[in-house]
Amino acid sequence: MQNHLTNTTALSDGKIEQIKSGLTHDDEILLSLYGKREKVYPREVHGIFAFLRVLAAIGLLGIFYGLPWLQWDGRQSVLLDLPARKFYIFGLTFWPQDFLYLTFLLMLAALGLFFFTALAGRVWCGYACPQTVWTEVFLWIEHMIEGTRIQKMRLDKSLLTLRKFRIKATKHALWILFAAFTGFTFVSYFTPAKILVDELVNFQLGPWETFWIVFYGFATYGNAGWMREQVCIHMCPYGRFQNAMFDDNTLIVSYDEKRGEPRGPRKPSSDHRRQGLGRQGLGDCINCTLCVQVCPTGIDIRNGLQYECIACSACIDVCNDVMDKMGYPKGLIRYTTQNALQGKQTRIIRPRIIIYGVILTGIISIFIYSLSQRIPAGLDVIRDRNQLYRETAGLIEKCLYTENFEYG
Amino acid sequence: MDDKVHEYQLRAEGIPDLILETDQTPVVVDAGKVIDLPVRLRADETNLVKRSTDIVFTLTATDEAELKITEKAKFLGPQP
Ligand code: SF4
Ligand code: SF4
Repeated sequence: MQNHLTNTTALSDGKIEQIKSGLTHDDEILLSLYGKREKVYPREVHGIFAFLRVLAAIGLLGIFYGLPWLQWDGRQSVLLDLPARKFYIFGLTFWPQDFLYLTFLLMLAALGLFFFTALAGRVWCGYACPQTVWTEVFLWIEHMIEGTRIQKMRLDKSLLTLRKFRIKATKHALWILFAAFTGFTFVSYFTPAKILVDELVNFQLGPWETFWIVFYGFATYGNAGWMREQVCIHMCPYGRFQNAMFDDNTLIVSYDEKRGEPRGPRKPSSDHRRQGLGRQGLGDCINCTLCVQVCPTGIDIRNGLQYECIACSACIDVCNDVMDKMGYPKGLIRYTTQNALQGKQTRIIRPRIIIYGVILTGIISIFIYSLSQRIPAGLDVIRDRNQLYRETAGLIEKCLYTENFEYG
Repeated sequence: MDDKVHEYQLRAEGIPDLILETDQTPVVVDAGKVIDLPVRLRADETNLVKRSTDIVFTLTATDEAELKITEKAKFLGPQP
């Protein structure tokens, strides 16, 4: 299996530096585990993919925060009533006996991940993962309070003044408020939202409800406010084993090294490609480092595909702007495949995709079919062990117990 | 798939003129509840050809014909 983490085709500054300083990749990882974390200040980015990301975030967060307020058949649309062991999902009621469906659902999720990763790389990471989505909200709040990337960096470097304290306190207050609301929403999937509000305003929250609101809120605050990319890089198992699902036809975010190198600054009007006396002979990359500045994981995509890259495509958007300003065609950084970069044909339909696709469709069909055939009752027949039969005037009487249960 | 109280009818088939007797009619089961329902089956000896006869219990909700389940069982009697 080709190892995509150390992309062989990319000429990589980072690698050269690594070799220079005599560090291997493992050493680097080791250092990064013990070394002090460099805080990443992602620069704000606009563009088509940023727009799609915001759209996805609004949709997903809208579902998460909105569902507990949606009523259905006179009760909350999605409610996991643990004490009563009933799980309401819109018109359906599930009982513990329906555990099988949960297994199905987990299988579906796993297979879906395989399928979409093989097809489109880490789209999940970049657009839909809660870690990414909540981090984006927290960054947005930070941006509102602290200002641009440069302002944030200056603020962090400056001495603690009353002004700095005020700004930081405001930010954390907003973060905590939002995180607490997140914790509240989480718990309202288990205790109906309306009851929970009542309990909250009357200070009657139960100990477990309080615990989970605080715990979930704290986890949100910590992960999205403080940990951020560290979760993706060091904690998320999916981020680590993704490269096993990649192949040369998988959609990746990549810098077109053939087009971009040699990089370097230039005068806007210069015919940068021409070589010769006094000519620069440059590629399309102007080395503005904007792609590095926008990256939420703080990497340089020009070093090739790296495991830290969550395929958020922020670098695509920002570089496209740069290309526009320079009058070069867009797409120096773009969604592409390993094959396309090497000038080969990209094959979307390939055995891996077909196999994943068939299994996925199969499981979805079985799932829907069994759900539609679900009979919400059960019947067990248990014979009386003491007495097989009794003869009463020519009639055979038989003693039976039928145990029947209904679930929903 | 719902969350309602249902009323059921229990039948047994497999032997001619098989009679099902129970002390509890109609059979009402609350949503999510399990009940034990003792029943007796009564058959005429002349209709029994084997010691063990296959029979089928059918449970049908009276208010919802689609809500129906069957369960196989054996009727054990004396050697004919
Ligand atoms: S944003 Fe584009 S032009 Fe600027 S450094 Fe990155 S790749 Fe080069
Ligand atoms: S390299 Fe580009 S796509 Fe990857 S995480 Fe950084 S900004 Fe996002």
